[in-house]
Parts: sequence; C-alpha cells; structure tokens
Amino acid sequence: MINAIIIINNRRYTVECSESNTVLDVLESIRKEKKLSLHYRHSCHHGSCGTCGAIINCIEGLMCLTKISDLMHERKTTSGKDTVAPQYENGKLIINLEPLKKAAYIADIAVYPAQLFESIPETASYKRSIERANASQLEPDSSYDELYKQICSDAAQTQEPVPDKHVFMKNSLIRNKLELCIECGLCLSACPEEFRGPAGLAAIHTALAKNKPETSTYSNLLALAYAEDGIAQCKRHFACSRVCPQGVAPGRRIQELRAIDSKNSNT
Amino acid sequence: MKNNLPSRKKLNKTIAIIGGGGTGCALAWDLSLRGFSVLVFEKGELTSGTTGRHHGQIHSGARYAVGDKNIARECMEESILLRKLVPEAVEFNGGIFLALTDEEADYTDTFIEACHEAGIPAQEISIEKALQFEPLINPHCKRCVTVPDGTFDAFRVPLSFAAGARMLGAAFYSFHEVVQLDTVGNKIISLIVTTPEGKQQSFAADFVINAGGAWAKQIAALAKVHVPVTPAPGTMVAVKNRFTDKVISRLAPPGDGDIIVPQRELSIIGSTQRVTDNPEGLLPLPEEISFLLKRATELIPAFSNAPIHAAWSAARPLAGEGLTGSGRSLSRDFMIVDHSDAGITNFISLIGGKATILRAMAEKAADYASEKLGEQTYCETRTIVPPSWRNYYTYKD
Ligand SMILES: Cc1cc2nc3c(=O)[nH]c(=O)nc-3n(C[C@H](O)[C@H](O)[C@H](O)COP(=O)(O)OP(=O)(O)OC[C@H]3O[C@@H](n4cnc5c(N)ncnc54)[C@H](O)[C@@H]3O)c2cc1C
Ligand code: SF4
Ligand code: FES
Repeated sequence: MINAIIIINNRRYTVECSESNTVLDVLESIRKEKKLSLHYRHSCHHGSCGTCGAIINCIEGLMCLTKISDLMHERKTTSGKDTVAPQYENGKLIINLEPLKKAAYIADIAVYPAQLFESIPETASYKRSIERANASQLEPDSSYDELYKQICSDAAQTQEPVPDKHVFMKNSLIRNKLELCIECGLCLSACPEEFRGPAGLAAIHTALAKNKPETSTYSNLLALAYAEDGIAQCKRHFACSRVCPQGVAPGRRIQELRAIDSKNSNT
Repeated sequence: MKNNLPSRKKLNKTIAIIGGGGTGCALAWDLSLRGFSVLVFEKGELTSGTTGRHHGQIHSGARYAVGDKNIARECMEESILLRKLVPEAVEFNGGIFLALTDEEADYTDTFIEACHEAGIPAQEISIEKALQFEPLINPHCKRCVTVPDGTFDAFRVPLSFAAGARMLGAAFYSFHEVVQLDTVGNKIISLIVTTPEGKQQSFAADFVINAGGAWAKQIAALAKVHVPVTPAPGTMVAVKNRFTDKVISRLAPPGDGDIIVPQRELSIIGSTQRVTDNPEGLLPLPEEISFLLKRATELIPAFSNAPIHAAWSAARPLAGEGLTGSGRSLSRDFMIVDHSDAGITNFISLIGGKATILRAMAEKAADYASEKLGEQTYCETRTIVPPSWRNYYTYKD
C-alpha cells in the first residue's frame, strides 16, 4: 500500500492505494469513498476511447493506463531532455493532475476537446482494411451466404441499394480494424507549437494512404497538410511521439508528409 | 441509406433524458429525429457509466440463442443495422464458437439449431478451416461454429448518435448531475441539476426518461418511485496482442470468462458477474483477473503469455431484482417501467438490454413516450445514418 496526495486545482486528497492501481482507479475511489464531486473524463478504462488524458506530474498521459508504480521513479519529460523525479511529502507520493492543454476547460481536469476534433479532417476514415496473408487459401464460409441474403431482403424493404455479392463475399476475407489513433489529444497538448497539430496531421497522413493520388479527397487532404497551419509549423520537438500511448508516431508522420510535399513540388 | 439531416418539424414538447450512456444517446437521436426538444443530463462525460467500459462485442445473438430466441433475433437484426449505421466504429470480422469438451461438442447441434431458429446464420466449419482463419485458437478444440459476431467501439457508436441529436438541436449537459426531481400533483415539473461549477440549476420538461442504467434505481428514487434493476458488475482483462480478428467464444451456455474480443491491437477476455448495490467506482478483484486469464488460455493458448494491458470492471444494469449470487439467471432483455402506476404520469425508466440493441431500446421507448404525449411520430433511426462522433465535439450551437 502507498500513501499518496492527489492534487487537483489546489485541492488535495490524501489516499491509500496500491502500486498496481491506475490514476483513474484512484480518482474513482475518491469519488466513491469520499462522495466528492470530482470532474474528469473517462469511459473505457483500457486505453481505447481516448477520453482520460491529463497532465500527470508534468507529463501528458492516459490516467487509465498510468499506474501509481509508474510515478514512483524518474520519468523523461516531453522534451526528451529533462526528467521529473517523484516527490514525496511526509512519505506520501505527490500526484499532481492538470487538465490537457488546447482544450476548453470544464472543471477540475475535465476538458472539452473541440480543437482536437476540429483538427481531424472529416474525410479521414477511422477504418483500416488489411488483406490476410493467406487470403488465397481462404474462402468465405457459407454463413456469409445467409448473411448476404438477409441484407438483400432488408434492403428490399427499405429500397436501399444492394451490395454486390462478389464484393461482399470478398470483403468477408479482409481483416477490419479501427485506426490506431484513439483521439486522446495527448500529442496536441504536449506540442509547444500552435497549429493544426500532430493528431490532425497524422490523421491526414493515414488518410492519404487510403486514397488514390488522382482523387480530389487526396488533393484536399494534401492541401490541408500544406496550409499555413500545417506541417510548416512543426519545429521537430517530437513531444507528440513521446507521449502518444498508441505508437502512432505523429512526429515521424509529419516528416513523411514533408517528403510528399517535396516530391510533389519537384514535379 | 440517407445521411443528410433534413430539417425536422418541431413538436414544441421537451423531453429530458437522465443518463448519457448508450441508451440515453440513442434515445436523444431517436427523439430528436421525431421533432421533440431534447435535454440530456449526464453526471460525467458521456458513456462514463457502464457503456464505455463494455466488452465491445457486437452480438449476433448466438450467445443467447438457446436461452432466449427473442433477444437473439433482436441482436441479429440490430447488429446488421449498426454495421450500416456506424460503419466507421465497427470492426466486423465475424466470430467463432469453440467446443472444447465432449459435453460442449454434444451441445453444438442444439446451439446451431437454436441460432437458425433465431435467424442467425451459424455454420459448423472444420477445425482446419477455423485454424486457417485464426491460427492461434486452441487446435485441440472439438467443433467450431462461425457466426456473424463483431467488435464495436463502446464510446464512438453512442457518440455518433449523440452527434446526430446535437445537430438536430438536442442539448447535452455532460458533468451535470440530476439531484432532485420536483413534482406537482402527478407530474415532474422540473429537474434540479448540479452544474460543473457546483451550482444548482433548474430545467423544465414535459416528459422525463430515466436512462440511468445501473444507477436507475437511485434516479427513480428522486421522484419517490421504484425501478427494479440489479447492478451486476463484471470484470474484463485486456492483453497486449491481437491474437485473432474474429470474436472467439466458448460453445456453451453463457458463463464467466467465455468470450475473447479483439479491439485494435488488444485481445480482451470477459467477463465475470456478481451483484452489488452501488455501481460506482468498481475495481477488478485479483482472483477475477487470474480466473479470466486461465479461461482465456483455454480458448487461445498463448493468451496469458502476453503482457496485461488493463483490467477493469463495470456494472450491467440487469432488469429485475431480488437476486443474489451471479445474477446470470436474469434476462438480458430490456424493460420500460411506466411510473404512472406509482402516481407520476410523465416519467418512464428504460433499463436492461445490451449495447448492441441500444437503437432498438430507444425506438421502443420513444414510441412509448410519443404515445403518452399524444404525438403521432415514427422512428427513423433504422435508415438515417448519424454523423461521425467527431461532430459531437466540433458542433457549435
Ligand atoms: C462487463 C460487461 C460487459 C458487457 N459487454 C457487452 C458487450 O460486449 N456487448 C454489448 O452489447 N453489451 C455489453 N454489455 C452491456 C452494456 O454495456 C450495457 O447494457 C449498456 O452499456 C447499458 O447502457 P445504459 O446507457 O443503459 O447505461 P449506462 O451506460 O450506465 O448509462 C447510465 C448513465 O447515467 C449516468 N447517471 C447516473 N446517475 C445520474 C444522475 N443522477 N444524473 C445524471 N446522470 C446520471 C451515469 O453516469 C451513466 O453514464 C456489457 C456490460 C458489462 C457490465
Ligand atoms: S496521435 Fe497518439 S497522442 Fe495523438 S491523439 Fe492519436 S493516439 Fe493520442
Ligand atoms: S478511459 Fe478510455 S482511454 Fe482512458
């Protein structure tokens, strides 16, 4: 058991918790045991929704994935150069929580992340389709036949277009995944510059790969990357890539967008 | 499928929804499309109750087919609809049920038959074929059945409905807790809400819907009425490896630790079930975690070699009461409780169900509310595609 002092907005909460608890677990128990109103965003509790970001002892992190034990040793700051050492007060670990930056403030550490979501273009799809390595060996099982029939009969009732059977069956062999980026805004908060920001530019980079260069979607996305608030403003701090909980590497993607930029301007 | 939002005729009646989980968000979308003015109050962020923490399985209904054909059929219908309505937040890769014991192998025929009766295209496939699709499942399984299960994003699906509602004028008050319901005669006339600044604010409404999930009993009590709901917490464990693309389930009657759901680069085993009074601040118990990992290894032998990513708990809002033990005997069906019988005529509670059927739950409750308000409306959520969840945060009133 660890004794800790959680500091939010100059309010201090003394708690007893286990090293394996997450910061979010601790806030949840404060709210339950002390019956306090304490405002913070949370939803999935496993690093998938992206709501629970905060600045935890000076470094952006997801509260649901940051364990108390993580805060008990020295950690590299977002600049990559300095470190923050754990601080104790009368033997109690200090856990200082601040709201993410570049988001509208609601209360305590709860924010409203409009800037983040505005930075992601509407044409950036959230889905990835990946061909299976052994696709040629696979054939759709007949349950897809039935499913196809059902979809056709539904479509007949609502007068919707029916998907092509061949395409439908072929799609059943493709692996569908959601994008890696969980839209948590840690990168945006950690970046010292003011511009569209890492999450939005990384989303553009991902979306470009899904669209053919001759399409207008592609050129519009590229135009956003080139725009005044685009890649030109990135000063290569790489704070974004250091805090990203999903390994999206937005910093590297911005550099890759620059490479597309120069390729295009050469031709 | 249409995805423009034509302007709606306005009905000049305000419906307040308490609870911004999947149920509350789907209700807000349905009622807004019907032309009602909608207010949603959620004490935290949207989906911070049970919804955001669920397992993420978009149920074909196969799991429930033997026990309850109606729920199974409803899941099948709704899962097809959700895949069309919120395609960007669904990973649809199908599912496989594995029979691991002789008893489970014997159960397979009953299972397939029940699925077919519920309209679920379950299909037995050879173990070799199953391994071609999913090489990491237990190769010693005895029989395999494919079903159209999938994965959905617990946060982004409801948020898409909320975004749609918002664009039609619904007002969402997150971080606003309803603390008092003022009644005059047989009606609730106002809701007293605590704002994020800690002030109390009063809102008037013609009709109130309690979509408080596992908290529904406490909310109903604010109007001195009763809702039979049992909070039944379950735990889930995510490990850092996506072992399969398909949802892998145990071919047996629903029990603990019998489903592995892939989500992005994770695999998640769930769940357990107990019962409690207070759905707030639930933490997983160490014995639940070790139990779940052991069960997961039976389905996917490499599962517990992967590092643990997270473990968490959430409370199911089971419709019904008077339970002890696991509560698995309670139905997964949902229930509309009309509080007229208890003397409040403009108040209903919508409880139970599953996240997979959130749209259907909202449809039934919105039909009910419309009728009580004497409005002739019809449901459009089957065909109108809601906007992206991102619009929830970018929308400007
Ligand atoms: C362990 C587990 C696994 C599950 N897995 C799946 C699955 O894989 N697939 C599936 O389809 N379903 C699954 N479910 C079921 C599903 O999660 C629930 O049925 C569904 O999320 C319930 O949604 P809801 O909106 O009714 O409740 P909730 O999401 O709990 O919403 C109620 C909301 O009301 C708010 N509230 C409470 N009191 C107040 C107040 N006084 N004022 C304002 N707001 C208030 C709460 O904060 C909460 O956000 C699972 C459930 C559990 C527990
Ligand atoms: S790029 Fe990484 S840090 Fe930035 S929003 Fe996406 S997941 Fe979060
Ligand atoms: S609660 Fe979803 S990312 Fe932390």
